[in-house]
Amino acid sequence: MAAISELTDEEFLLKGNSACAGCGATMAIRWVLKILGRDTVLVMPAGCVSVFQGMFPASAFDVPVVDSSFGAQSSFAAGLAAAYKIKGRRLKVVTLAGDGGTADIGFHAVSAAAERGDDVLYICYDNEAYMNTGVQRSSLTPYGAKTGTDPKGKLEWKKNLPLIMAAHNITYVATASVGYPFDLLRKVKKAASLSGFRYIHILTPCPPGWGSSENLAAELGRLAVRCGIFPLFEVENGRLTLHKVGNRVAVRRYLELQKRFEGLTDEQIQYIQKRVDDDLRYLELLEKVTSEVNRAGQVDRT
Amino acid sequence: MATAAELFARAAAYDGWFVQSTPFFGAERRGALVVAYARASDSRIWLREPVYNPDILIVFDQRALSEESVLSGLKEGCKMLVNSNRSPEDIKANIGKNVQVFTVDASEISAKYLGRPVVNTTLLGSLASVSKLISLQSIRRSILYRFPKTDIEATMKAVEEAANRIAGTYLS
Amino acid sequence: MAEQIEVLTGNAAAAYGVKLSRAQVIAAYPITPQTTLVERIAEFIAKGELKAEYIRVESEHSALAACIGASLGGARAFTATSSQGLLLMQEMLFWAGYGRTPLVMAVVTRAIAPPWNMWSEHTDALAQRDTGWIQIFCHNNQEVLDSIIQAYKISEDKRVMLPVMVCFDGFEISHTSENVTVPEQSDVDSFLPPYDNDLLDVEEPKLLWNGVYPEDAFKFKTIFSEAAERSLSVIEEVHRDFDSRFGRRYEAVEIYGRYEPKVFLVAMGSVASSAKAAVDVLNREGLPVGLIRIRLFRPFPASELQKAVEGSEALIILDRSLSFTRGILSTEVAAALYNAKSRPKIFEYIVGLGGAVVTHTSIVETVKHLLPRIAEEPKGIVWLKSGG
Repeated sequence: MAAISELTDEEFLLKGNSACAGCGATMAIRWVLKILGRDTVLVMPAGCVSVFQGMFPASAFDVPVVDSSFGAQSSFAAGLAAAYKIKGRRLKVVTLAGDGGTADIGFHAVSAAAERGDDVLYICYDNEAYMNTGVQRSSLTPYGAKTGTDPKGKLEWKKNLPLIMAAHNITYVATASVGYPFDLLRKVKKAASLSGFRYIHILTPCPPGWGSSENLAAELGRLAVRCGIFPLFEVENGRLTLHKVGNRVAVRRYLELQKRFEGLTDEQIQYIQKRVDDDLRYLELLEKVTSEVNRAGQVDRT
Repeated sequence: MATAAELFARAAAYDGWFVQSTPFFGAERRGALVVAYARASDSRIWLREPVYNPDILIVFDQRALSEESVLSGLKEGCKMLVNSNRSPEDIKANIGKNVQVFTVDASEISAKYLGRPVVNTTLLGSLASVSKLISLQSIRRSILYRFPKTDIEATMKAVEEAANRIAGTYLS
Repeated sequence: MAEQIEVLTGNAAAAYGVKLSRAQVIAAYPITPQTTLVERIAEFIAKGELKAEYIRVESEHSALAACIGASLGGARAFTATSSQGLLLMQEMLFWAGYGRTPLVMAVVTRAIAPPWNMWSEHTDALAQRDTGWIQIFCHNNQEVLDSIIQAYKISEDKRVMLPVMVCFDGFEISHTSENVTVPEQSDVDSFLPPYDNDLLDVEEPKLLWNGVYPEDAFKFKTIFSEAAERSLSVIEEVHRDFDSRFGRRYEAVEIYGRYEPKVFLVAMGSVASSAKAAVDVLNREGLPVGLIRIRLFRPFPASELQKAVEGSEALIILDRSLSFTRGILSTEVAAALYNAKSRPKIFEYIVGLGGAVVTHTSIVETVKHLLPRIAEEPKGIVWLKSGG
């Protein structure tokens, strides 16, 4: 990709859904579905998306959707994929879940699906907390962010879920951000063309939950990448490819746009900057080291 | 606005009433119509249901007046308090029921003292005058409890003005 | 903190109960409508008003597992959940029950999916009646606060050592604000002494919960069952003790209403609260109808219920639960009265499922419709339409 003209005019995430004004997840999901197209079956657990999809009898999606219990989405999807396989139906099974449902309560099932190599495309929309139930921290909430269950700010660093998924040696892993839509679209297209378990982790800023203006989702998505706190990378055949975008920006510029980081001391901000720099360096080293690796053909669960 | 119900209930409790307040629980997304209920009684309240026929209906945003559901439960002789710059007669004419309408431009009053429209707290002053259930001291205590860091003097100036600057119709 | 009158939601009242009980380990996972309860506790901890470890677990199964561990370690533990979360931890519910682990959990009742439904009914809590937990149903916010404190006292009593579930309706109670008297910390301290659990003792090591052969298994169940039987009188003791200290008397079975009722409504939780409003209306019109409120569901207070219904003609059960085709409360009431000397007729109503509003007027109308026909045989279970 990608030129805007290549994208279909069809809408699969319909207008009139009850998402909050400025919701980053709606941006990502709308584009994702335009790439995936009509022959897609969505599985989604409890979360923002399962709420803004609408109350009976409405549905905001123009593709079939199965709502699962919280944490069971990967196993629901596993069953669907197995059924379609044995019946010879060529439908894309796509799991769409938030950070809480993926990294916490559903993690055991996501890991199992990855280990089995289920033929499922798993998309995690990461708004960095349990946003649907108010704002409570998840393991993907960043260090220092205030939430209802961590009113003084989270003390633990954000769990690196994309790297954990990559360690499962699955077909494809990618991170993406609503700040870089064409990059996201390219990755979804690539993932859709592959088989086996594929995992895309999208940063989807949540203005109400992060304490920012409603119009800042895309900007926050850009800054998160440019300051290095959310790096863009892909892992395929054991090889990690890091995408640097423009000049590095100080993390402070990203943090100061969000009330959830209000009150961070200079010391804490320095800690974040250092940690972000270290983690980025770690990825750079991984990229170098894995450039000599080629696991093509080793991901062959059929 | 659910906060206003809570603020009212706490103020009424300070004034010696048994109280109950509930926000209505629909899908909570920004921009949607929100309803809250409050009750004050001289004995313990056992009811666990919405207020279907209020004695007082408070409308925080006059755009809500165009919603059928807002006006459907109004009973004869009840009171309506509307945050509006329109006249009570004007509003009453569009309702078609024999109710007492009171208006106050709480948005303007609060903007004057607080720099921005803070209708929640300001309208409590008008509610005090219209309902005669809560006192200004209790309103002050209630606001401070919920918003300990607020500029209480400026807020109370808005509350007091809203208590005094109400226009009202009489029952016909 | 001196005793004070406060205006609190049910969830906030529960959080105050936890704080006053000096809970030491909190492990909870967010779920509507419980979230504001655990957030308030997190706030108490952050402000230093409660000294406790807060474990931010990744699921409800882990929440209860962590609480079980904490209790074994000698810490007073607390968790809270609703519907789906309660179901997810069911394996651990049995573990705490049969394992006789002192614990308190708040269950903010909520309908079970599918379809997704945030509003209240009692099926989630009642479906756990087999797990070995004591179950208390609250009908207002004061009762929620008081019951949390009482729950620890009951649970930790050496004659009991069983976990306690304090249940209250989501939204109608959890998110509704009411006047609540918050007791003084020192008064609660003298009512509820510190908790200790010396099961895991390095001086005299024991192995907990490994495999048993059938004969021993039978013995363990007998011991469990004896504790369960004893719990009823301990609960009564705690009710009396609480009353003498705090001036509020609770009962396993509460009777409400004027005159000498020949006909009783039977209900729990928020439905019982609406029923009290209905009884007030009916009594004002001179109708001798009362309410039997079931506060204690496990152990089911059969003899108290039998005494309460002596001489009455009929019971109108307002059941906010469903087990396949019949309400769970109704089934328990019928079972408790089967061998009673005095057995009134039972009229069963299914009400308020999925959070449908149970208005006091719909209860009044139901009673008035039934009263002239009270001598007839019940014609089967009636689903009461949502009031309005």
